[in-house]
Amino acid sequence: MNSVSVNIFSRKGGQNELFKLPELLNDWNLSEFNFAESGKVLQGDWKFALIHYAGSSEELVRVSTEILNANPGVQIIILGDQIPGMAVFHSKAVLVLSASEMLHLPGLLSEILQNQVSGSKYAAMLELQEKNLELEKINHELDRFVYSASHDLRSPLTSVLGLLYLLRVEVKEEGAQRYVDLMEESILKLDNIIRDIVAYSRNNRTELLIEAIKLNDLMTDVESGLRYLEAPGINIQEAVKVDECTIFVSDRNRLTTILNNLISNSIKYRHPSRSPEINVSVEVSKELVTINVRDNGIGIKDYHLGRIFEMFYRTSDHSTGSGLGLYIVKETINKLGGDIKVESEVNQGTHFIIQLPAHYKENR
Amino acid sequence: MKTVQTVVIIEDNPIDVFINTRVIQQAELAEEILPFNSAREALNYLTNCSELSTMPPELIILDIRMPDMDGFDFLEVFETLPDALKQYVKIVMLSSSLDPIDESRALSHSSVVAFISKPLTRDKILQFPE
Repeated sequence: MNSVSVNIFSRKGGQNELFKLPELLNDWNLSEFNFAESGKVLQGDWKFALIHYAGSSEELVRVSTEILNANPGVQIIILGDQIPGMAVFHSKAVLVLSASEMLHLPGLLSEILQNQVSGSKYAAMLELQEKNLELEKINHELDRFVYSASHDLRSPLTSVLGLLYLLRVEVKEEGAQRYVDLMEESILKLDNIIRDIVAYSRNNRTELLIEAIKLNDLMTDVESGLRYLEAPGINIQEAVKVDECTIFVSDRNRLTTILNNLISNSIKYRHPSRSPEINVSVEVSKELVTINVRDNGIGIKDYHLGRIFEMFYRTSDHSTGSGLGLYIVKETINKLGGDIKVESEVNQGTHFIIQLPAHYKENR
Repeated sequence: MKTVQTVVIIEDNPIDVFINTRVIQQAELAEEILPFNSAREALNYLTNCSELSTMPPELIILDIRMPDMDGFDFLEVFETLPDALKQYVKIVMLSSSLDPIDESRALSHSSVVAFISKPLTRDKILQFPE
């Protein structure tokens, strides 16, 4: 087995001082490896110089060049953000790591060291890093595209909604009011489809943001998402009963999307002969967060139950939506690493059971 | 919000200018409504107010997506106007955007008091912060 050397130079304070290796090793759990004495490079096929960057880029280029000249074949790993002028070194397999990537350095280093990573694998790592950056860029562009396309699609709709609003206020003929209602309903339906598509693409592309949550805190956002709902005479605040005090961790925006869709369904498919009641409760165990959404609506027939989470699936008789709502719910829960089940009885009501992980790894 | 002397509307779409004007009239929000179809024209007007020491508008209703200078460009220049003018003016942003970044970016400006989704209605005007 080849021996491996890692030299760690720090440029803090402008002096070439060696990092306190034992401390770093404890943190990184790499203690079984041989490390070089100050500045001395051991024999072996793989030699790394870790440079902690804290000075100017000119300084860094100078120091790196010195190291490269004195130790032919050494690989340099530079720690630090946004180092201009580093392209100079790319031909010599310099790996520049940003602050966030430094968090992954222990894993990367131990992989390099343990497996005696071959030169081609090292190159592949660099390539992977580049691909990642490229993907991030594409993702960002797609994000911009979705928001600006949805804005341009919605602008004429909001203008028509504004005009209909004025028409309703200014024209008092009864027949006209009915036409205004129907036009408004159609426009809102189209607007909801656009909102659904944006929510779907947002769920797909954005990272999870895990934080401590109380359901009650989400309800303001959920209610503002429901204000477009066509539900005359229904007080959503009164209809929805929420478990107020249980605290758990999850992704706030995604959970809002989920509850929004489920609660708006409960209101849309309420029973004609009783006022809607929706109970939202949370149970937290060691492993799981279980959220129950239970309504007293018209229920879902057995033969639809297996398919309601499919994209564009609509139960023919009552549905008015795009067929995206529950699909988005399911996709969003998948992204959270959870699962959803449904129980329903026609004329009695529907019960959705959402199970989510009670813990998430950091940075995920 | 209580009635003000002057409201400025900055909006490039003439239909939305019409809607906003009508709704403001019906809500009796302002004595005078001044529409501008570009941010640049509105800035000229504000600069004139400042130089001639005339009373600036108490409220600006500002669209985000506009050609040439958009709502955020406007806000940046607005921040450079004299404090004597700025302290009178409240800005409400009005947009069809679903982008949460637009909202947080708008509200990060000290002069912006609300971010409202189009269309403007009487209820939304009533909810403008004082």
